[in-house]
Amino acid sequence: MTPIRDLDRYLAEWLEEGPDRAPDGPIEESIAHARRSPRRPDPFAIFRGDAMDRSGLVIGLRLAALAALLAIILAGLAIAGSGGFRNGNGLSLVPTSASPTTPPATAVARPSPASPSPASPSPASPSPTLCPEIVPQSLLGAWSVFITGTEQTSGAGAPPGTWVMTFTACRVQLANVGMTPLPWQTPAFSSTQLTLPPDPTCAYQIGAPSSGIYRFNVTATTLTFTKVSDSCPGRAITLSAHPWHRQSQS
Amino acid sequence: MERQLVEQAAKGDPEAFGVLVRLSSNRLFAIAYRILRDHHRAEDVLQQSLIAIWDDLPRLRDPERFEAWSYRVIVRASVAAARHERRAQFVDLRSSDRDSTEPDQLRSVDQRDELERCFQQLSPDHRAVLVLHHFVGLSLAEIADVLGVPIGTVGSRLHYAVRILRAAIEADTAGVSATEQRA
Repeated sequence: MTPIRDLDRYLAEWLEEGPDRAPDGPIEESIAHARRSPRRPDPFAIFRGDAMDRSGLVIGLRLAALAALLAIILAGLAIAGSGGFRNGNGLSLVPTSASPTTPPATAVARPSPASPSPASPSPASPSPTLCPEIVPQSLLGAWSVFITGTEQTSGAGAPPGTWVMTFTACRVQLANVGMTPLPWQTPAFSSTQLTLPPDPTCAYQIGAPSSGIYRFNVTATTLTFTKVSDSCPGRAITLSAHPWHRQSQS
Repeated sequence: MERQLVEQAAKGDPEAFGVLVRLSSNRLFAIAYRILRDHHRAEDVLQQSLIAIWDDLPRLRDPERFEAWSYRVIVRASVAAARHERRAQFVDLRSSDRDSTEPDQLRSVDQRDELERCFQQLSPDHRAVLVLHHFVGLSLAEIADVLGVPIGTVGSRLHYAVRILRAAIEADTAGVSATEQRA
């Protein structure tokens, strides 16, 4: 036998020998498989690693992210199940399908007062078609006000920022822009006075829950509230700290 | 060109995948054959790998790395098949040891057969490194990327594989010489 002096070269030459053309069978079969297996959207794609990742750390981080997401979802469900998120002044930020004080739909009101308001329309938006006309015509539409953080003291609890109040023919809704709007409520009116239902969820309630009673003064572009009485300080500050400015008209 | 095909195939275009497969399957089959040293098993591994490539292609973030990734898929499938083969061959090797006492058979072995036998005695991981380095022509860093192991591991595998191969060939050569002398 001839001794193998240059094994590397000899090995390379030896490896060059052998088939270099793939048989057609596997190629055709894989293409047929591709045609039979169309891609479907993968909701967990973000958690799947790069096929060329080699790091176990990357996989670990993805698993940790998945676990964190699951924990957040479960916590959210648990909080929602225990009565909903509060915004600090007790005004529920979880929409309900309809206000518990929803009046029976009896009379035909004005056409949709709907909401081109800056706050996104509430998912709990009431039917715009049937309800008694209790809201003065001059209030219909959307109004906004900006409440600063110092105005909403910790004692009041309502979140600062831009608030939007939307009046329809028979209901009113408050919404802090960027948050889930509060449930629609059915107000009561006299010529210059607005009465809002008691808010038992108010976190900093003063005494027993009572209605929020406000005098109002409306012009073409501004709406001003003056508190008469309200057991919910957050609501009182939000409504009466500054004049509200008209955003849209019904 | 290939990048476009990879992107289209990842989005679910079977025609693009077909072109891609025809472009790369010869190379993949050649790698599988050289690790396994068996045409039929290499064919099976190729089919299995091409299907895996279609299924997992959306997970390949960088289309430029398709070639390296396809090498990884075929090498892993080949190594797995070779491991299975080695377990299945264990009994056969022992039975062939009994036959190898025939001096005529030893005399008929030339260098290529000798290399073939010694190569198959290597572990599948060592075979894979030899094939990627000496046949595909990848650097140690590229092999490390393909196999997903540290470059030091690749270096030691390559060194060990060549050393074992050389020792096995020299031992085989010495054994044949001794048999010839006895004869």
